[in-house]
Amino acid sequence: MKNLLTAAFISLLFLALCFCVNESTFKKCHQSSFCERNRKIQKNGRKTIFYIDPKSINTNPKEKIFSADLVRIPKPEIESYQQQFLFDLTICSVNPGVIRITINEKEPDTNRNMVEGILETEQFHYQPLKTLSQTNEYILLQFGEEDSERKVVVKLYLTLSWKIEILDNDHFVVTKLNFDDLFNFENTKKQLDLETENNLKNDEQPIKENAENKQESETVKKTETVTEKEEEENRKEKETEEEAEKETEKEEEEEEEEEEEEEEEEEDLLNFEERFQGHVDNQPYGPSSVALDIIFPDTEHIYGIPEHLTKLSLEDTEEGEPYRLFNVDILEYESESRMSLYGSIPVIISKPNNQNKLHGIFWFNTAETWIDVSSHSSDKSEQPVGNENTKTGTIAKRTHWMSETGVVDLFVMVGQENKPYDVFQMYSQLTGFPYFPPYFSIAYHQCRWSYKTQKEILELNDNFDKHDIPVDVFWMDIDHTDGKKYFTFDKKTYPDPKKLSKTVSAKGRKLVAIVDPHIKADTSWKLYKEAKSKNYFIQKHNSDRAYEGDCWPGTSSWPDFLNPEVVEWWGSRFSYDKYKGSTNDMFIWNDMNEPAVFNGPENSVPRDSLHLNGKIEHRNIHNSYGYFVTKGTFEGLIKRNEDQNERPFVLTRSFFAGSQKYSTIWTGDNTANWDQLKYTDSMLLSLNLAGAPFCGEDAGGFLHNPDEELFTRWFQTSAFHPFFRSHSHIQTKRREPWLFGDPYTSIIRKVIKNRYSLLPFYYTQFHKASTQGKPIMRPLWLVFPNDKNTFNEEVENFSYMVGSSILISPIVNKDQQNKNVYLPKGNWYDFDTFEKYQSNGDFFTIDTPLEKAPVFYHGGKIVPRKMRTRRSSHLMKNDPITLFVFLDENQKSSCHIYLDDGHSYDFKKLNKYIHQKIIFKNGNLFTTTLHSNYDPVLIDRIMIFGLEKNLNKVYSNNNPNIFFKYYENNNSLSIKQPNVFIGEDWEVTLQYAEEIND
Amino acid sequence: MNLFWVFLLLIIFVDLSLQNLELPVRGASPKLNEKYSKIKNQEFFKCDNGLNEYPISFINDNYCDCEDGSDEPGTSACIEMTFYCSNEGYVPEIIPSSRVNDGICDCSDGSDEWMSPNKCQNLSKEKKVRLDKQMEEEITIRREGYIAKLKLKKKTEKKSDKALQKINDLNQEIKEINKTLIQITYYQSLYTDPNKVMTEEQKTEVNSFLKLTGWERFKSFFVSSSISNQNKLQMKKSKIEDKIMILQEKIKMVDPFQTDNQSNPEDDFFYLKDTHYSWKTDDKHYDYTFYPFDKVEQRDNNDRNTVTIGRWNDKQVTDGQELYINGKRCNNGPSREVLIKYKCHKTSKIVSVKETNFCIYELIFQTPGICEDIDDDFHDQQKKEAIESEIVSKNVISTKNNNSNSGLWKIVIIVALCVMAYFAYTYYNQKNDNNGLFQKKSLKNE
Repeated sequence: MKNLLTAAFISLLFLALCFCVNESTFKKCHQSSFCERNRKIQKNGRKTIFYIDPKSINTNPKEKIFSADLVRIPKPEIESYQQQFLFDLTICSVNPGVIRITINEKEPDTNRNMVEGILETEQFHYQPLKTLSQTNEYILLQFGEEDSERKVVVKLYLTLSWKIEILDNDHFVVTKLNFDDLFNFENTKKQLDLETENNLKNDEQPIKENAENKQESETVKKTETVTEKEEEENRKEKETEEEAEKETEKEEEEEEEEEEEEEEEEEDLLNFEERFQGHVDNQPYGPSSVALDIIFPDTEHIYGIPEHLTKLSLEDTEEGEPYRLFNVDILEYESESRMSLYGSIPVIISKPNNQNKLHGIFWFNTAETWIDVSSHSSDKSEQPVGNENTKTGTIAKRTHWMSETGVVDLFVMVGQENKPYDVFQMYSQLTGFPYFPPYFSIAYHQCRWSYKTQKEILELNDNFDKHDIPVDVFWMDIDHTDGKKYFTFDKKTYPDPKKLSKTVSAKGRKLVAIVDPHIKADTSWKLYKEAKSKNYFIQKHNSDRAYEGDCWPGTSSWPDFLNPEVVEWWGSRFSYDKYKGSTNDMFIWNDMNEPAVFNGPENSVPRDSLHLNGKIEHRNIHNSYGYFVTKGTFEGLIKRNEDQNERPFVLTRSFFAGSQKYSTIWTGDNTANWDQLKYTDSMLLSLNLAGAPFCGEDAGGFLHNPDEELFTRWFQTSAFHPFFRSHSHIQTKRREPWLFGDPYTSIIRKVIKNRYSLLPFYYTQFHKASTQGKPIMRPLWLVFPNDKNTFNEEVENFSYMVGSSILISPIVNKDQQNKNVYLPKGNWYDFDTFEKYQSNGDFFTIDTPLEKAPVFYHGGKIVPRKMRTRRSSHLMKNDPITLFVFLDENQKSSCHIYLDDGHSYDFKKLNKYIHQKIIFKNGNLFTTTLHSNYDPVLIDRIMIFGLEKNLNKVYSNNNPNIFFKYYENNNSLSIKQPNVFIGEDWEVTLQYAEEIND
Repeated sequence: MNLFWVFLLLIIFVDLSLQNLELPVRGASPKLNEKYSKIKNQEFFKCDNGLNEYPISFINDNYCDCEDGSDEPGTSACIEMTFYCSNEGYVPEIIPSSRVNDGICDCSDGSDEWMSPNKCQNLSKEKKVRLDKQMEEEITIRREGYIAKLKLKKKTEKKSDKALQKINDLNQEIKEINKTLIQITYYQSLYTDPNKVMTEEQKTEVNSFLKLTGWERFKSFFVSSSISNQNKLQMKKSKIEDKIMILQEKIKMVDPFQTDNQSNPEDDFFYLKDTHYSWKTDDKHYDYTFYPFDKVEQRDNNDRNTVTIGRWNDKQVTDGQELYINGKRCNNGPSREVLIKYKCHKTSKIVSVKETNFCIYELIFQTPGICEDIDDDFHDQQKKEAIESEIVSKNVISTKNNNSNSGLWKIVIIVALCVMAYFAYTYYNQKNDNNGLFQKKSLKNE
């Protein structure tokens, strides 16, 4: 049943598919000229020096900002005179423990402006600055209150090449900047006018030839090549009136000659154009990359820079491609690859050896970025470092960051000993805490491209009940719209979306509709006309006309989300009167927001397209486009209700640092095969470590048909992921859970029901994430930082924890009948049988027939569950809670529990919520109430596992004799209807048998 | 809503004091109630698995005590259990225990939402009326369908009887002609073979034969051995052969069963042979055409492209359905197939077609051939029940969505009722107290 349009985009899809199999749709480092240039510096060293001008240093404590001029000169051995170029360097501490270092041109071009609207600048608390000492060689700056434990010391080297060391409060070096002398800042140039260009061509024939030879083997074609100095000369020719020019022309000529001889000079070849796959990228400002090396001394493991489907711990890239961050629409991505995917968060979390600390860095740059990683035991450049921690022989992780343009804007988040979660708090303070999602959105979602009619969704609504499988959300993919004009419904297939919404809402369920940022160029469509007349679209290079490209609806344009007015306008489209057919039970999915353009370079908008009416090139902001789309959507969903009191749910494919404020992330178009399943958990862990915990993948794999075993195994891990949704491609077989038949359907049903029973626990985890930035999915080493085994590759990649209470060790291989599961020291309890495992940090062989995926509760944790799993999470709202108390070696256990109405902002505006700590120790189970201003919830059962003593009696303040049952076989205790409530203070006491004897 | 739980606890305490099991036990089937009636006055009961024994008050106390869940037939406390809706006057229903007290009316009598007594209406009576009407309609449809089927069968039989007669006649004719032809050839050989001399007897035989068959006038053709005569004879012979051919063609025309050996006139659907039926989707995008015993086609009205989505499989219709396979391959996918579901009706037409899975279709076709006899004897009672449960399950799906739950409103009413009940109770107590005092006083006075 394919209509013309579907046929059209399917053929397009095939096209895309072909491209993807042939990796060449996307650039490799050598095809990205700036990556190539900066990598050459790695190999060959550089010919210029950047040093700090001591005279320019300004350390006024009142301003709390250190500033100085950074001067670039050619190396003295190369040139006998010193031609200068000036940059601004600033260092400050925006929050306790967070250092910000920026480097920009002295006279910055607007094109390089930092992107506004991502950082939470209003939340910044600038820390006091104090100069501890200053010598000819270095200056020591201290940031932070004098009595604070979060003071950070910045050691700035005034030697020939600038260097910075950042030391924590214990005087350990956290990071070292520019110690490998890879800092690079290609200053902005103006494009030559044709005349001079021609002149230069004649003059520079030999060099040009040389360049062409070199480029024969490369895909990137550099058509115009001139030397940088000539370019400078040219600039000066045109701006002779400027007084800033100090050098005489004669000197420049000499310089020029010098340069000609130095063909290997990293900045010798200037281009104002770059070609790739038949697309021409105009670069009117010339090469403008920035690069810096960041070293993590005495560190074996660094993590982050999502999104990549590969191992969690960052690998050395010397032998291959660097990690790439450039948001692209990629249809069939590969496992264990450092290729770019749909989103990027330029954040690295480092774990120094032998310290229980986590530090982080945030490279705030929204342009294309490549990161090389290597491990070397000593510094490349011998440095007079007087610190015992950087002695040669210890392993250091070195990273080389290269961005196509922008500025250096680096945040270093310095963690403290024994507070490993601090770094997440610091990062969230910078870019925003994850949004607190409505309760339904952490339950199970059913999606497919596409449920073509509203009748199909009604059938789903009935079928889930028929097969007794809970579900909360049904999704409407692109086909529900009228000709892919978003904000509309197809009258034939979705004649009454409001009624549809009402019908599913009767069971407490919701709908999600897709709204993509490409706007069909259809002059009969009001929305398009309005956007066009208001000049709201991204503009073509060198023009004020809207850029047009191909996407689902055919020819389309893309709103310029960099413009706050457009973001506002986009948000207003979600109001119920404008978005006809939408209801307050309908939420939004933003797909294709990289942005995806079928016929664009690397399937996206050309980099030379223009934002903000020509002020800024797309290349500068590319990675943040998806972020701003979700910002508009999120704010629109809040504003669509008059009281602005309902929490939105937004799913996004593309993202940047900060996206966690507005959206849930899914990992895009994955494939139904074991290789993809294998590293999915690592991919999500990496997102969690980079401050975006509400994430998940298409359970079952989007492309191709999973067999029953793969599908079942996939659900066994997916059901524990923060975002849990099944999705499939239009050309795959239907795969609603009941279609596989038993035993598969039964296993999947059980797995989904387990998720529903755990929702009170998950909701508390989301609350922690939204207030403290804590990851929800955690690598084992985050929970057990002193256990070296947790860094074992197998353990790190193929097991994870949810909060610090549940350990999941998923089966990611076909026909795997057992698995060696690592359990850190302590007590563990099997998820299904509650069998106790006492571990000293051992591997246990667990039988894993199809129905079993190894999952364990962590001794010492209480897990609140709702055991009456109903058709949707909403229908479980008033159900009682069962407390599962898992005792540790000291017969202790505890947990936090948070609950509220699950959908509104009353928790924030009216403080209507409950936050309690529940503690078990010395045979007492009791509460500590942190806040209680919401309807209490009954606890109808308390299960205690790992109890070592026999019981005589259980009682509470208001019930002297509570019925209980002790199970000898697994030392567990079941306490019946203790008549206590979450939200109230109470104590339930166990009286041990021997106490009576005494 | 937590008031409910408080409320429930109160009920439980009351229950504890009562100790006796009240029958029928909520959510228990009649069979289970029978079991409970035996232990009604006992202090303890055993779980179904025989492992544990608990006080009788533990039954339906909204807490799962038995590991097999057998102590909670009427609450949602035990997972993966069922709740029995007795639906007095209507058909009983069995629902998962997880639907008890979840705020949605599932039982027709509303008995699953017993914690909010005013939430659900008892729809058993209405449903019964509706069901009876539907049953009547359905049985009429099926009866009519069956009658139509019988007629069609008779027609087929008659048709085939007539045809057989005609075929026999024609075959007889062919036989005769063939005989003549053989004889003439033989006689010809007698005349033309120089080595043979005909006896008088033979000559008489030939003459009488020729007279009888009207071939006398052509005798000269084969008596003489001249070539022109021989040719003439040959022509004559081939004319006769042509006649045989024509007769054989006639037989084919009359005999529909001989054209292919696949379809069997005994087949219930034989009358559909050489017919076809079309159906248009609501949006007029596609036309589907069903050629029974052949194929199903889909025509895209936008690009006027027609594809076969399934071919006849030469298999019997089983369970009222039949799969047509090996349709055109989908791009990047499997061969299309269509499942034909037959539905009893006196007339034949396509009811609906839909793509149930990627390139897998379902065609519902109403036709008499699938109809079965419905009588009032016991055997058909079962059939009737099957029809009934079919209708009931359909009704369940279509009415479930009609729950209009203005939840908050109901809560308000319930709370109001509770408050009223409380006041009424306290007022009553006070009154009683007063009475008591008065009585005491009066006693004193006495």
